[in-house]
Amino acid sequence: MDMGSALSTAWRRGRWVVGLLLAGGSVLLLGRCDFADSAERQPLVVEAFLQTGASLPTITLRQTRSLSATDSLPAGAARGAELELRVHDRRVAYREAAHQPGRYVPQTVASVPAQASWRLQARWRAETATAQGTTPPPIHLGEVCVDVPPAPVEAIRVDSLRRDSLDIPAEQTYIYPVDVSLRWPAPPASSGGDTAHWVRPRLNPDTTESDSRVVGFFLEPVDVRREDRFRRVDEGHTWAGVYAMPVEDSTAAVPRHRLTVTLTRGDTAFAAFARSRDDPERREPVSNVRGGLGIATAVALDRLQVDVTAAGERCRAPEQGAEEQGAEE
Amino acid sequence: MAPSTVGAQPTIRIRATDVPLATALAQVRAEASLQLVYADRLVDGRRATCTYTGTVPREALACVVAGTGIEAKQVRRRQYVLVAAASQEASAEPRASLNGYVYDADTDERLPGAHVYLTELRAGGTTNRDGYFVLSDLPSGPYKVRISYLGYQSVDTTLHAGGDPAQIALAPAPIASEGVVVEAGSTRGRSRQQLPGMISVALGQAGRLPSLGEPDLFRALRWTPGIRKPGVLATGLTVRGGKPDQNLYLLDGAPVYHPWHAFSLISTFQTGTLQSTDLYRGSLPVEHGGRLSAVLDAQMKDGSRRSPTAVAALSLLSGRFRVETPLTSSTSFMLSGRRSYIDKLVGRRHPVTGPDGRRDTLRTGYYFFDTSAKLTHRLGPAHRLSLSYYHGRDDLDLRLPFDLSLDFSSWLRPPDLLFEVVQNWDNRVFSGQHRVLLGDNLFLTSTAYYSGYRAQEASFVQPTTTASLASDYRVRLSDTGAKIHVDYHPSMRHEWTAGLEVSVLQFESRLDGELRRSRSTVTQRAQATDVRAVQMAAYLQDSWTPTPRWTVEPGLRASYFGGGDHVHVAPRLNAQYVVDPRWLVLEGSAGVQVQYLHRLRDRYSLAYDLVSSRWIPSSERVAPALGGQLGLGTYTQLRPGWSLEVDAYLRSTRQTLVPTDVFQEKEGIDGPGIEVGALLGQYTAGATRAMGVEVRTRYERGPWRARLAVSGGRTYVRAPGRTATGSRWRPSSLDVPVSVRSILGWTHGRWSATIAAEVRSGSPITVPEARYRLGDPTATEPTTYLYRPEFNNGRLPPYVRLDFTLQYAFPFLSTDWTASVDVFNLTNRDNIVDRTYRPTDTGVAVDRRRGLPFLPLLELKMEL
Repeated sequence: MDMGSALSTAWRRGRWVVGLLLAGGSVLLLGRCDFADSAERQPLVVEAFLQTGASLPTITLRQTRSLSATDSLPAGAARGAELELRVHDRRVAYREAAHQPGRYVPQTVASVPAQASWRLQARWRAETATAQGTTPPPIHLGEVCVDVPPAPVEAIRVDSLRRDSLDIPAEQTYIYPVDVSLRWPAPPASSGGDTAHWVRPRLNPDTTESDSRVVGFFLEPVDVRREDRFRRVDEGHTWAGVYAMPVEDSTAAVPRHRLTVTLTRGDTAFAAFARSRDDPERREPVSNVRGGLGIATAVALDRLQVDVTAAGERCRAPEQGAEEQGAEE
Repeated sequence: MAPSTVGAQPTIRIRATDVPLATALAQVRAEASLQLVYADRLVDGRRATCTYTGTVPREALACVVAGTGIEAKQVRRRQYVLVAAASQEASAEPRASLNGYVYDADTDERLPGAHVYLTELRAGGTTNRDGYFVLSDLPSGPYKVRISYLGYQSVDTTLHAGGDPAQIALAPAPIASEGVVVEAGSTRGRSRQQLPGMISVALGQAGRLPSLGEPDLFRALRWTPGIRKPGVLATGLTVRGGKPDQNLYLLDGAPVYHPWHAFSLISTFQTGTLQSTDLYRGSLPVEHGGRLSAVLDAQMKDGSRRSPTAVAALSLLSGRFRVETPLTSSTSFMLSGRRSYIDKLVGRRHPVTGPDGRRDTLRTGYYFFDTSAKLTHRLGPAHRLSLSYYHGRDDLDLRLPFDLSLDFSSWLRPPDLLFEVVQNWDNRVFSGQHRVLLGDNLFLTSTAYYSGYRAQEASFVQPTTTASLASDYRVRLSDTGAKIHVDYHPSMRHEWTAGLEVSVLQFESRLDGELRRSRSTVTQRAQATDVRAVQMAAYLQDSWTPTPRWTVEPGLRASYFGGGDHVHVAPRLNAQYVVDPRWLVLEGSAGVQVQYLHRLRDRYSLAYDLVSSRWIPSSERVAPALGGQLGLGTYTQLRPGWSLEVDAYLRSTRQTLVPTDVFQEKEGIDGPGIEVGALLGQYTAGATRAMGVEVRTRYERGPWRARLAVSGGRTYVRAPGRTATGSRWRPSSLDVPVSVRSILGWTHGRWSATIAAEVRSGSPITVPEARYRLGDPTATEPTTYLYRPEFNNGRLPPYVRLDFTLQYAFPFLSTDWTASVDVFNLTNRDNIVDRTYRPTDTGVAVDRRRGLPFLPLLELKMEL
């Protein structure tokens, strides 16, 4: 047998081994390959809210912490950063507050003007984080009406499908669903009108709210919309929200509590942040900070506190609605 | 002497003086590298004398046969058939075709895709949808032919080119030697439909694969590499990492838009009702288009033309039947039905009365059914008309209190707080197909169809006495179309395929809802959309076989979509090279696909778009998705009964719609609504790329059969979005790098057992890497968040599952019975199918969701 025939015979006999090895090797090699682009890690977290008409804000810088870190979270302050804010081309220097690591206070006393461009830059270790925007026009709460039903209503607290075992029956409870409506004037046309801004009305009672997940779907203590998407009334906008106060039984009176109504106007970055910040179990808020995490934006904000003590509808007009007022019967 | 040049023809030298013709032919075969086909009796006793020196093989052959009374006729390049020399008039006659029909010997049903192989010419073809084959431009005369078909005994016979169409009956193979379950690639002859990644499913054997108690096409397909269900509760199949909406499901030529029952647990395709099923993974034949990833082309049975047969079966999920019968000598009929029966056991309506005399009716209804029917009439030996009908429906109807604990006495009364859910969807398909043979070489298939998909999701939820949601969401899609398909066989070298398709699509959706948050806060919504579009396509392909080893198929598919006036021309090229007909065939393909429909789901509201499929057509605002794929494949017969297939693919798509915010999930009761603009605002145009290698080997010996499928591949996606992760290539949620599936089957007498194992990489998940705190201008305390810099940066633990099937066939009361036991997850392994992370003040809490546990299922089948 010549060499050629021997090689041919050997190939024919061993081709399946070679084929299997090549094919199997290709599969495993390809399965182990990673063609994904790696992400740039962002350890610096910026929290800055410029507020139209208010003093220059305190800015907080934090660092991300390892999931397994056992130290307390305040230890996550980003200390020793250099921070600079420019408002209307005016430079504002910041320095870290004494005894408050990670909190930076302005060296200048001034208020934030409306519709002013701003830019923030923070340097910490090798990181540089920046953000910029324009301050919105001020916002003012108009009439706020709180409507408490005369009696609590029956509500499901924990449905069976949320239980680990069908041996445990569902739980029912009673709640007072409280309706709150509020109004505010539209921004002046010179500021870009109400199509350029987003508004977040929010209801914050100072006591325990209903913890029922299914009931929570039906409440609306907060909303974020482009301002022109709110219902127009006269020269302004209106919104109605609902929150719930749990009570023991069907005869219980509404728990006395203080409700804080806030109205925040901001830009698109604020809206993206506000819409994504309420579900920390699933996601982190959308960030507008380049080179870092967190949020740096400018807002206009108005707030009203109302003491809710009894059933019925009560309204507060703007001239009556100064902060810390509004005690009801 | 002339200097030699590259590509110069070798010199042929023939010196023969009165030698046996067979000897001279052997010399010319060796010198000129010709393939010569002739009958021994033709050359026996003849002698040849020839002296030739030159470079033209044809002239050398002519020299050898000159004066012998034999004539050499060229079939293809370097391939000749020797026939007895005819008179001058006879030699002027045109060449003949060798044609005929292949059908099932038991039922007389025509067999599409059967291989017809001329063993001496080492060439052949496959039968078309009507079981017809034609091998054109052959010299008249007898030819040895082998006819084979998956699951049938092969037939070796002699057919005459120029004679009447042959009628070839194939008998089903005995169980012990039925062979492979699926077949891809072929060394038995050129096949127009063999493309890299193409699979023909052996439907008769799908019942032996582990399933959920009854034979199911899609469950059987999941044991092939590259195919799997995208998620536990997800709808559809993912093929090589493609999205489920990138697959086209065809039933007798009509598209089926939502082929699923029981919330995607099983498909609407009963294997017992199907005659043939081809699955094209990525490399699509020119007559198919409109999807990027895969096409499943299923044909229903015509029904037996010989004698009536009836099958009935009962499983834990459903009861089913199938009847096949000849109505006349030229007409046959098939009817099948299936229905779940749990609603009959539990009851659909439950009247209850409270202590105060108040009455109500609770509801616990769920069922699914499907009905298939086909009537086939043969207008003549080469003329057939068939009408097909399919209707499948799922219907869920619940009215229950929130309290569903096992303490029935606590809630089996008129509820104050309750929920109602009405979810139903159905597919209805009518199809008419007319097939006619015009002459010997032209086969015309005309198809007209209507396919309708309809879904409803209605709900009423009342969690408090003053809050409620009443919602009614409906989706409807209708697709009415016609197709003309022509196969023309002018010669052995060429086979032309051409066609024209026109369809009219209508997409309707409607949402009526009232959300009552409290006594006075009520939101009402009434929205409706109605979009129509015309879709047209034309295609042309030549299957060119220049030599016995090479087949090249250049093709072109042009399409037009009325929504947005989109026009695309998609070229395709397939090639096959037979290295050795016994052990190695290489295949390659390259093609471009266009998809004009996108299936999207609202990503906000839990009140609608939960189980229905909503398709959004391309328009001026929505560009069609484009994809290109390269495929390579090879098939080898390692030993008798042992085969190996290797497929590789590289796919790229763009303009596919990807969620703008990958972290956004349905989480609220209110959403942006069903207007197309609101839906499109949640998506952005993205790109994907995928590559992979699939290896499959099969071994059969005696009562044993074994299969091992190993696939490795990656799928990546990139889309600009609201999050920083969008602009980078990241693993797709369908990315599974390594998958190994194996099946070991044993059949002996009445017993049959199969054990199947699946081991694969876990699905991608997004794993947080750190945590941080962040405040809000209206919050008193900052909130802790988890930092997820990359989407799909982690992976669940490997998925491992072992399934088992045991069957016993026995006669009872003159009837054939089969009892089956399917065991899902034999080892009761806790597979982690999802993992979520919750931030805590000191770290992160991990919640895990596990897959289905050990699940035994039974079926009893009776066949008359």
